[in-house]
Amino acid sequence: MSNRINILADTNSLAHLSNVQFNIGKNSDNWLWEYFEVFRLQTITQEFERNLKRKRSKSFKKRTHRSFKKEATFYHVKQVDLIEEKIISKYYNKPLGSDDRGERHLIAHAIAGVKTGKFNYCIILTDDYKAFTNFLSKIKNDFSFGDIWNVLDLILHLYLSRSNISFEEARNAIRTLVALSSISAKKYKDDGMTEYDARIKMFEDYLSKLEEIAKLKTII
Amino acid sequence: MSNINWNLINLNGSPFSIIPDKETKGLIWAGFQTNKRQIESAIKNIYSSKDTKVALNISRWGGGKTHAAYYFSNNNNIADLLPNEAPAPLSVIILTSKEGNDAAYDFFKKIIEGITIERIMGAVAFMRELETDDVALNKIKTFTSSTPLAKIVWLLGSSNEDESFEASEMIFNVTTSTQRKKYKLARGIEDTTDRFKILSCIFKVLSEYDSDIRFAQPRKIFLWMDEVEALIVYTPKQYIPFTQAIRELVDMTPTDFCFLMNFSLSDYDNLRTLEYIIGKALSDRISHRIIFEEPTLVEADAYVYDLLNEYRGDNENHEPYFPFVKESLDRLLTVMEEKQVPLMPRNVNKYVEYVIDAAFGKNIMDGEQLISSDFINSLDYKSLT
Repeated sequence: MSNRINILADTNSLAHLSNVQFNIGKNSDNWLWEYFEVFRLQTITQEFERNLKRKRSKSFKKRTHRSFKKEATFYHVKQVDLIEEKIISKYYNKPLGSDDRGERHLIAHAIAGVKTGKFNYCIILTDDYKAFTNFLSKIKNDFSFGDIWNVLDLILHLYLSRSNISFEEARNAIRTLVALSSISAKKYKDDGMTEYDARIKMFEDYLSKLEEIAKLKTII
Repeated sequence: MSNINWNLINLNGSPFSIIPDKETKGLIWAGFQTNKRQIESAIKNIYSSKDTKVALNISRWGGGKTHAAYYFSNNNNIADLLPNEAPAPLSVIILTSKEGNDAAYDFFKKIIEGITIERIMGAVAFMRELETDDVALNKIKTFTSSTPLAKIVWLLGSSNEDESFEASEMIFNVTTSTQRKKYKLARGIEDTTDRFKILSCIFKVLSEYDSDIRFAQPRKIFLWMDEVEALIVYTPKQYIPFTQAIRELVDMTPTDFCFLMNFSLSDYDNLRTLEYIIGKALSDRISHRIIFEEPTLVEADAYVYDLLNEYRGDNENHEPYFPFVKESLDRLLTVMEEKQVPLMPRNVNKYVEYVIDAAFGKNIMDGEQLISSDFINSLDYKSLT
């Protein structure tokens, strides 16, 4: 088992992270696989491929997809359908259709991975805020497999754990991700607030956290 | 559908339109005298020197910034603020593009279209007529460091309609090799820097000329950019070059230009992040910060009072707050405060119109009855949140 953090990444997060580059030399396009043990589910690979076909995809997104297929560790649990049917469905308020299939499979694999000793802790990386609030967070509370992060949380962790990522790089990464409309700012949107207001608040929140980490870095 | 018959309550139309009136003529300023004075003071300060200024106007969403831009773009409303002999400014209001990819071109296009290409052509034509063609060309060359770009601006004022039309095409599109050969241009407009050089050049022309006048003193150009907070949806790769280009425009136009940005923010503590939203290049240039503070109940009351009386019809036999009385209006504003709805003009408009509509719906207004505090308390306001 690697000492790197185990990540089960969702399609949307991979697409979002393809916008972020760190100045870490020749591996700048591959930093995700270098810093984390990323697992690749069949469902996510297929979703990512559909995502690339559906929209006018940027070249960096295609590069991330190629890299994901090559570098991430393929992981498949045979009983995924059974886990969905017996466990996930209780938390999922709709019939198990194609909607949220990726997120359902991610959490099924996360639970199964800890149960079978594939890993003892893992992070689900997803920017699907609706899936997070609707069912993922509830399952996380009942099955202690690890945690659920969005890409902004991942950048905070990266800045905390890596000395070769500067404050400015991390701040720029956060600013880039906050600008993406497909990353929800709903959590920050109070009554009477505009979408821009909510995004500014989200940026402010993550920037404050980043500054706290920077303070810590002056101590240890 | 609204139940309101404004005439029945002796008002000439709705004073509480939620969407700001984009017509500058006839716009009134109601209440909020502190906000008004802040902008007036900034305008006076801008006129105290020739130097180009950058101003930032901040408030919560619905705080009246767009209204202020339109109100102060009407030269009748600022005549008293200008020094004697100073020509009235030329004001343009543009909306920040929601799309970061083409933001610079969109900015350029909106400004030209805001001024109107015909007006620019008219000013250059008048300049050429007054100064002679050669003198005008040389003068335009001093406005920009590029001879080909100066020539394109100069061609806008050609008396030959085909030439001036082609010049207007070159302003918006890529210059063809045929056009370059025809007009002996070493190059056309190639990038954002070129477009902003053209803008700066046009501002300088318009500072001195219009289609039938040469100003004895330079005229100031006021450019209002509304909803600048939209830059939060631009990535650094988009907002940094865009705002650097705006800064270049400011720097290329060192005199008689004023760039005013309207920025909505719910939490003024977040102002520290301004630099990462509009870019350091631009935030460094801000010389005036105007903040429309959250209104108090007294200010909101005065705002509604002023609006009602500005729209009042002929019949003056009414309570000054008709169809409200002071107590019921203040009760409504208190309800808003209790619901933690900021007393921004847009929210006040929404709540006041809702109550008047409900009063008509329940036939309260029959026989010129007044809206009471009890009626205010009887409504649930759920549809407004």
